[in-house]
Amino acid sequence: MAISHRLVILAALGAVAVVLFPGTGTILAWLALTAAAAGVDLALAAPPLETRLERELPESARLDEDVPAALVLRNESSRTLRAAVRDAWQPSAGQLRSERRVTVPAGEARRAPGTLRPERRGNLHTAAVTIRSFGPLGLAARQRTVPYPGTLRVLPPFRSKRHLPAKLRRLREIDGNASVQLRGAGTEFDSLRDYVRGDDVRSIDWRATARRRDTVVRTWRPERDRRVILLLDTSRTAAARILDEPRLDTGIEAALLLGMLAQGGGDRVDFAAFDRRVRARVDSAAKANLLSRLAGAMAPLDAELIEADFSLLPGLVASVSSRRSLVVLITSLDAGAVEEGLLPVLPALLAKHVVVVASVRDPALDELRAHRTSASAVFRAAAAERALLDRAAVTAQLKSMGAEVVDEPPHELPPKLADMYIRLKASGRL
Amino acid sequence: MSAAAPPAAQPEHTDRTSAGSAAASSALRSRLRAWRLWIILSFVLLGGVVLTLLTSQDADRARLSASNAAPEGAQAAVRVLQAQGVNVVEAEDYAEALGLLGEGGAALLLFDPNEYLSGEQLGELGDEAQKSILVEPTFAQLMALAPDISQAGLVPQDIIDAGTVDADCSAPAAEAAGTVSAGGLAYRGPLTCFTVTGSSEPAAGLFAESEVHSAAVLGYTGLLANESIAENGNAALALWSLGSAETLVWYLPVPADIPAGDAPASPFSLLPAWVDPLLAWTLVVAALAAFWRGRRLGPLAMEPMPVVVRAAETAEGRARLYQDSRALDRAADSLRAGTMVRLAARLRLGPGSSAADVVQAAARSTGRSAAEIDSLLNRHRPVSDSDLVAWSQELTYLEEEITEP
Repeated sequence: MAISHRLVILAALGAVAVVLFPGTGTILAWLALTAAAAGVDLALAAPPLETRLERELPESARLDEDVPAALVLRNESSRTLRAAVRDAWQPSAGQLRSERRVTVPAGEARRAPGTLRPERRGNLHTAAVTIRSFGPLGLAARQRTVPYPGTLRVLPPFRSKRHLPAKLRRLREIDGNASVQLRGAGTEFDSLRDYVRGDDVRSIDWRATARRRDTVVRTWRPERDRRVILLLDTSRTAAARILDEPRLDTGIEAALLLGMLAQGGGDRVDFAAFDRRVRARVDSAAKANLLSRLAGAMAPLDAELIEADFSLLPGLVASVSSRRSLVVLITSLDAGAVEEGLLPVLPALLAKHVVVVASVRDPALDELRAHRTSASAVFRAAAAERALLDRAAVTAQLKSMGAEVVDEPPHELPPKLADMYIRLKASGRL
Repeated sequence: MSAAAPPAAQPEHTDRTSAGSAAASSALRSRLRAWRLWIILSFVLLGGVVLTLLTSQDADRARLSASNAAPEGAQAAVRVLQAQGVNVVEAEDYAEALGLLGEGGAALLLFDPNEYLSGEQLGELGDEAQKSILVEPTFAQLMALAPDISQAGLVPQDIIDAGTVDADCSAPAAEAAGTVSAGGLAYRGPLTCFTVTGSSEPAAGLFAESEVHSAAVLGYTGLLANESIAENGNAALALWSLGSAETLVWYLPVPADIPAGDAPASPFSLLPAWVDPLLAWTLVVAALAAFWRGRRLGPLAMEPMPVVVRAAETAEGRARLYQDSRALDRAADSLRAGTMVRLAARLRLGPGSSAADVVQAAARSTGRSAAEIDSLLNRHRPVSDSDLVAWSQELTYLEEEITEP
């Protein structure tokens, strides 16, 4: 049960009666009047449980964009339903107006429109819908909460999308089919074409020139249809917040940009998120839109407070491809986690594949290191130095084993990782 | 719409082994744990109630109370009087005292140092009582019950120091007592005993009796109190003066006996008649408004919070460890190593270069002497916090010098 402001006003009007006819009788009479009015209203209210609910929700949504989330109420009782409805979305779903008013005549259905503005990536939930059904006087209401779970998948924002056109252009340049005629980098023979001034004389195909009596050059293009395997670490180190973003979110941005770029470069992209088990997987075999599949798989990921099990990586990579592939491991370069977990399994991966280890670097450490005005600041600077040295040692060790390392602050990591891909592709190491 | 529990969910008690009973006991334990707070609270409440009951039984602490066994009580005198056949009745309040006296033939013991009773009430008591024994009476009490006895001030200090007073008169009670303890107030009446004024006239003493024997005054509570009744002739005087009637009404007035007088006009009585009902109605409206605003539209929605840790926290924790354990050497080593690595990179020295190479290159780059840079980079061991701060700043200056010549 619930009451409205009207009932309070009705009761407040009783003050006039009490002043005019002071006494217990007046109080009791007005109390009885108020109670009777509320009782009649309650009795005439439509039963809230005789309502069929349906939620109209898009499959997935973007962060910080308005999402229409309407409720359709079908009134199956014989009375008009005058309802205030609330869908109990979790707060980060950003429901703009949680209470919605809707009037549904008997036997009909009405839509109560609503808007969500999600503030967080992932699966956002609602558990129940509460219906408060007022009587015809609008004094009192019957209230029931109906369990009706719902989920909205909010995709990662993919803010690094703005880097994509520039990176694709560079990829096309080395591909040899850009408007600027450069000697196509790469090792795969592409085609023969007429020599134009400015072409590298080393690329002239003399045999073809002899046949055609025109100077003909060979063009190469980078290898296509190679495998790019993106591995995203969701263990405890991914929970660390660097600047304003958990390491995991930066990793998702980097993986999305690299995935889209590699697709543009004609490669096949596989994705897996892991900690002690495989948390999400996207297969290159499926034909649907890669971006939506990647974003959909990454959306519900959250960092877990467990240690990553790097030993499952060789098996995981082998299950994707037995051919030489580019394995991009997005993790952290924390000394303990890498030395004990990653280093032992790295040789097995390096024997067959090209491995890039990408990690978010914390700019706060550089700030701490430079700040040396008081004793405690100097101790902090020393601790930051130590962390950076450990990191440098790990990086050096990874590089000496033959892996590539990209260690950049959050905003730099996605474009720098894309650059690394382009560089590897240009040098024909894929 | 409550669904009945499915029969499969019923626990089967018959063929359960020890595992079943262990599960049951662990379930009981977890339930106990859930209710622990309330159980403890109820025990505390119970203990408080029991304690209150126990202490309240012993609550009679009034001076000269007939049921007070404490030093300032008078239970001893009352017990002895009852043993002598005197019917001692304790009166709880004025009405009861008046009623008991009204049955006739009863004497009254009155001890009212706070003057709770008005002159009118005292008069009514005097009319009903066969005899009134007043203990340390005030002026008003004397005026109402023994008009021919008057106050004579405090007993002089030298008499109190002496400890006892002699009878000095022919009243049978006084003669039986001989000497009594000294203290309290002195009174002057037609018959005055235990004089405390020496030879000066008129005499004033601890015991005074009116002419018609309708009233007697005991000037000292010590004559009746448990503490001192056994001393000297106190007991004899008390028993003689109190035991003259069949029934003795023992009456110690309480604040509730104060007669209700004309209260001063309250400012509230000047308010119009509708104010009180209006206030009451406002309360009702306020309660309704609270219900209107307070009723939530459904339960609260939960927000599952993901785990997020500040990344630099480990470094800061390590810094606090350094500082708490005053690990100056360790901190200095880290700072030194960091500077070395950066200098080596900036001076274009390969990864295999030694510390001496870095020192030489830095000396060439800055123009400082190699010895100076060597002592700064390699030899210096900070001995205090301030030394560490100064030295680390020196390192920073050196780096800046080489980076921005």
